[in-house]
Amino acid sequence: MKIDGHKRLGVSPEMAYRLFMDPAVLVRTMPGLKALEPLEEGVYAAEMEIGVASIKGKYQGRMEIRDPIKAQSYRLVMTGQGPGGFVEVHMDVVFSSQDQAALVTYQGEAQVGGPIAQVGQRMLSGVATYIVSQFFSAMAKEAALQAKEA
Amino acid sequence: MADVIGSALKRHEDVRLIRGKGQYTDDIKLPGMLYAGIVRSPHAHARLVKVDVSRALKMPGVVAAFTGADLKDEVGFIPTAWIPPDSDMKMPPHPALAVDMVRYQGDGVAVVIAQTPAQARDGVDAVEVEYESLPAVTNPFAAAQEGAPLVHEDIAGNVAFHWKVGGDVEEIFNRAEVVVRQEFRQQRLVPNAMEPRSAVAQWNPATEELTLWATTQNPHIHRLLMSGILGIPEHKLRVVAIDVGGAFGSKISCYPDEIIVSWAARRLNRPVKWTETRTENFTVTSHGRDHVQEVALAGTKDGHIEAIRVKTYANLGAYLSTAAPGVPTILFGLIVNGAYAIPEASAEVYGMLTHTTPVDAYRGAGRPEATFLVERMVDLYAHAINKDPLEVRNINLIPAEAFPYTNPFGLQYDSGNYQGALAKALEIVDYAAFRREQENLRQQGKYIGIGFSTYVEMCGLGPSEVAGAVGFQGGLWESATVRVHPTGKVTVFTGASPHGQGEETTFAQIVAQELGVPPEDIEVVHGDTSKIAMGWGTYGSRTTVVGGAAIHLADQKVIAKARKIAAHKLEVGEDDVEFEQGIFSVKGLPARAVTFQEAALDAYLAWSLPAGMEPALEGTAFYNPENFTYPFGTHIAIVSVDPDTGDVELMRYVAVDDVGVVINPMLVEGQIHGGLVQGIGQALYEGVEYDTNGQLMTGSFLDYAMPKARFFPKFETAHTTTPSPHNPLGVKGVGETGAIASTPAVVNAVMDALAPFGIQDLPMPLTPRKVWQAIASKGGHMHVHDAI
Repeated sequence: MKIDGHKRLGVSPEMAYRLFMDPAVLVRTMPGLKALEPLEEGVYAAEMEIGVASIKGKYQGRMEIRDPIKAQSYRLVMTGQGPGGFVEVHMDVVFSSQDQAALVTYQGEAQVGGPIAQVGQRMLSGVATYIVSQFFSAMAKEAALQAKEA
Repeated sequence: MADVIGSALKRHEDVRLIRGKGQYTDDIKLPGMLYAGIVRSPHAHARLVKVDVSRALKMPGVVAAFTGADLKDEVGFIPTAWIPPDSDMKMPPHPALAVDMVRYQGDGVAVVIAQTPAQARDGVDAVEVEYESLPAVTNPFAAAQEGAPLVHEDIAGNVAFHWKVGGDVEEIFNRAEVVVRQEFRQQRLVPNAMEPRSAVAQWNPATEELTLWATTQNPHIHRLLMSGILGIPEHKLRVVAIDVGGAFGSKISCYPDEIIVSWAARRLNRPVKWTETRTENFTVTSHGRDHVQEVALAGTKDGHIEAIRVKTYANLGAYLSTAAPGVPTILFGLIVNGAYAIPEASAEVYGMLTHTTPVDAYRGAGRPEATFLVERMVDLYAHAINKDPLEVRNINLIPAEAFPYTNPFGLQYDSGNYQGALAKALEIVDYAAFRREQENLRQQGKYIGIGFSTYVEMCGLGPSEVAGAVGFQGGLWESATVRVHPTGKVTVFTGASPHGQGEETTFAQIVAQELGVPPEDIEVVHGDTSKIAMGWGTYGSRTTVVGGAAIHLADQKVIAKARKIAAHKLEVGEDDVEFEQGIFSVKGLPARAVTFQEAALDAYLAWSLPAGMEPALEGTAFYNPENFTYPFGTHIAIVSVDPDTGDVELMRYVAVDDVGVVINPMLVEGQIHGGLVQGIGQALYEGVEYDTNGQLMTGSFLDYAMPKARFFPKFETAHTTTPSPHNPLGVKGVGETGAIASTPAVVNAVMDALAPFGIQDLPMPLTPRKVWQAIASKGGHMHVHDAI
């Protein structure tokens, strides 16, 4: 399924980029992300807990940041696997400047498979959109906090 | 005593089943029993990088966990039992647990065995598997295209076999006045038996015998296959099917799960049970149908069909299931001419491997796929030559005097009166009145349609010589033992393995009629390889046709011996003894008589038997049919289509079936109803969808539409009776007729309703959305209405 959208963050694109690269910030903002352990440059072991309705599961996975261009863009690759099945996300994230704020545009694709996908098919797209928008809203809050501190 | 054959006796098995006293495989509890859970791939196609069970082994209650690597040196590959001749078939290796590749969503990669089912499930979740996902292909036509991902590396083009039958029809097509071409998609269906599959295995270390209780339609075939796979000799392997809650073909196959628990029970020396969840039933129990068909029909302008040509891409799934290769070939290709005297025909089938759940027989198995295409083509041809579909049927149906009729592929249709069944259906539906009403309603912007299916099918599988000739790796005869006890009560042992069809009742009726014993004095035993000499199981509408005939022959042996005993007792010659309604009497002297029960007691006491006669009274017979049987009939569907919503309402459904002699009319009615809802389900509601990665999108009852009783009108059923001339009982089989005949009748009716919109064909299922979109794409109904 396709995932795309954009969000305005009340900080500079440089700052926004930094936030998105900070594992501690990501764990705080990404719904279900419980831990990120760096494995190598730009690669993390991720622990997630996601559920669709009553079917919740823990997922072990990897998060990779590919082709990062500072303050401009990167490509996020996440794979997770657990009893509920697997999730694979490929997403391009682009930072630009709009009205003195950062505009974060994201576009990508998520694949979900296994038992959750089998029973929760109808809800998946909605749930994915919801999770992603929660993440960006949390990022926006984080950015607002940073802007205040700065 | 009135005739028992032909009477609507209530089902003997229901006395236990409807009171909840049946015993299904999952009801079995054995001391020390463990429970297995299978780790299944969430990917349709992936390389197995790592399967690590160490965390699972530390979970509470987990006793053992095994992977494909543990099994591979001790457990053989699971073979298919059908190898179509001259098809260059390649049988891909099918391990019970995947070793380095998974090939469909649900392919097993490990088993966890624990003290409780819940602990086994938790253990399954703790197994760590690393997959490297790979591209998948799910559609059989797409799988045949250049560059499609390969399911098995060494099977080029994903073609498991290429099978052709029939003559060269090109010349007819080149010169024909009319040629109609159409592509049909026989969508994939989930059989959805009420009882999911289950297996319990127990190893006896003292005797080195393995007992497997399993939800199977054919325990002896299971024993034969499993003996080879597990390396346990047949005489040390017992397979038992106790009560089985429906199957529709999905319990023919020899499945990995049954092999895994059998192997594990021996390895652990403890009984092991595995029971499928409904989710697993959707993903790993065999599916049905799934063809892409290219069909062409040649005919004259005045309505004579000259030839039919079929090219099919049949989806077999990731591995070849037990009967899979036979379904789209022998059971499909040989009967694509249907009930019509089409002089020339050809069929070509590509058996395709894809990254999907294996496909095997599903109610009708091949014959629904054949009947659908020919019944639809007749309607499309009628439309092309501007004739009424009924008129085209009348022109082309095989005439009653042509039987036995040899079809273009050499099948010999045993008996029939197709016009008789059609006439009876037209007594129920006033066709001319319908057409008038249809025209009137069209003027008001309302759309109703009528669809015919004047079908024939081949069942009563079957002559064993033919089975061998068409590549089935077994026989198709049946065994029966009729054992009369000293008190005159009877136990019947049958090699058929009924699992919901009610043959405990039907078979008792045959014996009651022939031996003159009350039905309540007869018990029918089935489904246990330790009790039954041999059997080939229940599928292909063969149980009453073949199994019933074997019982009939065994009865004759019992009667012959009892007659000798009675004659001896009556001190007359054998020829002077009459046998009627359970009483042997001297011809012309009815008072001098011996009851069947008295003869039975004499046989067992053996105090005074005719010279040289062995004691006891039982008959064993093995019946090998000389031909298939060919039930037929006319089905008529009447539908209305709401042009604003695309909703199809089935208004009337008339089924006139000729299944030969009917033993129990109530059970026949039940079989027809069940078949109809499954066939109509395919036309209007059911269908499996995969996404491009091979994920099953219709993996629960939320997304897979199971027909409900409220979707249907009251079925109007009737019969004609044309006995099978070669079957000793005259029966033809009824288990599949409804599912075979009804799908095209309904689709023909919907297309008839949609004719004013210029719509001639839509792929099944005909959901409101699909129908509405088709209407909308033709400019919508208001436009058409205005134009009228």
